[in-house]
Amino acid sequence: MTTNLVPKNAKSTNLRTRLAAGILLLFTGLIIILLFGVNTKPGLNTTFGLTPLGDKNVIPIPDLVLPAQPAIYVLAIVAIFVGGWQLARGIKSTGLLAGVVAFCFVFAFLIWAARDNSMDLVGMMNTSVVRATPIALAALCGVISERAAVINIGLEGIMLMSAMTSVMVATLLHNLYAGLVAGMLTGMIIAGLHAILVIYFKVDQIISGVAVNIVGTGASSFISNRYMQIYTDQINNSGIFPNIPIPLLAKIPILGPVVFENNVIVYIMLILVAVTFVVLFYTRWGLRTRAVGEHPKAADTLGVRVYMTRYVNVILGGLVGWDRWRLLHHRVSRKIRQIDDSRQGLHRPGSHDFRQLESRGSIGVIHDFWFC
Amino acid sequence: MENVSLPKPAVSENNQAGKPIEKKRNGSKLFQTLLVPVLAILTGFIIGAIVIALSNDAVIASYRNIFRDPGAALAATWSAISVAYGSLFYGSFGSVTEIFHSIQTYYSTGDSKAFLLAIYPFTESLTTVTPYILAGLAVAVGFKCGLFNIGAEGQFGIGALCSAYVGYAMHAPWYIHLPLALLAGAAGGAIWGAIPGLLKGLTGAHEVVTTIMMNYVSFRLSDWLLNGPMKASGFRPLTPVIDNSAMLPQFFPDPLRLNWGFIIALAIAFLVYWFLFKTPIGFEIRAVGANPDGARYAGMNIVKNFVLAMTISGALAGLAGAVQVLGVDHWVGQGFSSGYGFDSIAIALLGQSHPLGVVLAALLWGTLRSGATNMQLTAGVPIEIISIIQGLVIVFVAAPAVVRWIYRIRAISTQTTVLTRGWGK
Repeated sequence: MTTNLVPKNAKSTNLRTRLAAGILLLFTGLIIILLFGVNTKPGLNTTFGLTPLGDKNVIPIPDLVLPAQPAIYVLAIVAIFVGGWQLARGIKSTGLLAGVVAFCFVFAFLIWAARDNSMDLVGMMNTSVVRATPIALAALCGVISERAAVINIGLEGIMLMSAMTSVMVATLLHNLYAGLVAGMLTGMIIAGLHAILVIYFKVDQIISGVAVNIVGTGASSFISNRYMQIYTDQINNSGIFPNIPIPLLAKIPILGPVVFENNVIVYIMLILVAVTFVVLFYTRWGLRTRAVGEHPKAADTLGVRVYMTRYVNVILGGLVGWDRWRLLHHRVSRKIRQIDDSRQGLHRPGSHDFRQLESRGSIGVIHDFWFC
Repeated sequence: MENVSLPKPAVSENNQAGKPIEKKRNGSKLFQTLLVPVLAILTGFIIGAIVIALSNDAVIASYRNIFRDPGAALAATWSAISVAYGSLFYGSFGSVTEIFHSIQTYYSTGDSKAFLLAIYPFTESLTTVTPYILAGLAVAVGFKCGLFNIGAEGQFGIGALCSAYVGYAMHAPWYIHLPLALLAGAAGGAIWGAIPGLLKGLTGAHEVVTTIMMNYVSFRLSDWLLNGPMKASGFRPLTPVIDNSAMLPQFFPDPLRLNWGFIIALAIAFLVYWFLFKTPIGFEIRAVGANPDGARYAGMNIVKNFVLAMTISGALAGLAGAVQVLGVDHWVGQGFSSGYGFDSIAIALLGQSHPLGVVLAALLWGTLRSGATNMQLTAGVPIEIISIIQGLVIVFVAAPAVVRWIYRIRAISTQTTVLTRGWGK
């Protein structure tokens, strides 16, 4: 992410980054106090529901009742302490630091927002997991192809087209899994086109991505307007994946309802995040992919087929980028939604870029995105 | 921050391994420059025609009997395509004969109503084109400095809000009010663009990510402003209507919305051309875009140029928003800027980042958009067919190799322009 265009002295840069990060964190702590702490009347309590209402699976645990103002101050002090520590000593893992402080901020916000009231914390976390799923999958897609040095900014177009075909196929065949496969195939085909444009015809990657987006958005809403909204029952009524609680695991308080009571795609997403991480960093194929991305000439010299690897990766990326619409798509409207997507698509390149393209990072980032 | 060496664009290596490329031939330079875009547009329309034919029920029905009656099938195809493109053309330019007749009527009777009605589609196209010219220029200036300004949409929205605020909150004679409102729009966009420029120059944060994030900030900010401080009385989240003194004057009476914004846009395009190609600062910006290391070696300040280019880019996008508010809408509502971001990128690409090219591309884009509404009404072809055609045109313009491969034209020059660069490069 950094450019080496700006001449810098390495040491002073480190110092400057450290100071900047420290001050930013301190500042966040102060904001917590000023924005939430001062605005909360003393003596109010915030109640967080930890057992979803009407959920028979989970072992029930009592609600969490916090005195609002003291809790906010504690969080602020934690944030300020972390910031001060960073200023004074410098901590290596800035990501972790930022994570802690971000958590403090979000939690303080929640306490403030729900002061003198109660909030279904677990339900909210579950929603954020569900809503994070599409972005996580698309981010994985971006990560995989970007590790092989192909920027895929056309994720939005890929997702729209995949969502559309998957809904169509699922309705026609009355089988949700067939729709899933169709969505994946569509993703692969479009990613393959992107790959051909970028690798064989040497089109600028971002241009090709923009074009994929425009064509994808246009084609999906064209077909949606022309057919799907007219013949709704025949081709646009696939239903949604049911939630499948995983035996035993779903009984764990908090964690159970949040993670283990979702539909198939959420589980697939969680597994894929882990798999992608392992594959990219601990297998031969992953090493080669990264080599192709980081130093193509060296990889070429060593006998790795650069272009081939890139093709495979981009297409694989498309495979992952596929579907997820299936989920939101159905939950929310059952129709291909046009306006909202255009914003989400732009999310993605952003979100996967944040943590230096580490797939394990993507999920954390994504969480931050959707939590509120 | 540690320098992570990340992907390099595929273009950068294996240039040697590419096919042998001929030296430039002596053909007309203009012809060679225009050849690929024109063929690209043609190909886009041909594929669009295929899509139109395939999505037409009558055509599909006639092809069931293709062996019995091939003539009818072809006729149905032809009529589907010609009706669609005919109504598209009519929606964009109006009918030539109608215009001709109405001019005759005007001279014989002095009645201008028919004339105004006849030129309505064409003026409407030019009205649509206006913000596209400015927003396309915004992205093009970024490209010239090697920066990819994805944030034109946010800058557009902020510019529109700023100029609308000056438009309704201030009261002054028009020669003060109107320039001030335009300037406010440009300034708002400039600030919105300068922030990613600063971040890029000082910390190396990639401008694609930061401009996207700035877009989000601007969306939410405008949601809040339109529902709170800037909301007019009433239920819908809209700003009040701006004062008459801040409106850009229209050329014709009311239903025709063509206004001075179009002239401003053309003038700005010329200014940008002059600035980029005839001034030292413009030269520096282009040098930094072409080769940052070389530019630094020659003593140019990279950070300054990044910030400057992004500021100008933002100002242009903001001005686009201002012109749209002051000239056409006269108020700002939610989702005001949506779509302009991607479209302006596409226009800058199509125009190859040259101001003249951008104006031509914006003309194409705007007339297509404006004609498409009529096509949807008359021929029942969904408006999104335009997006498909436009996307294909971009692919073909960006990949001359594809066009050459389709039409069997030999390559003519080795020169490639760097529009954007990869993440870590």
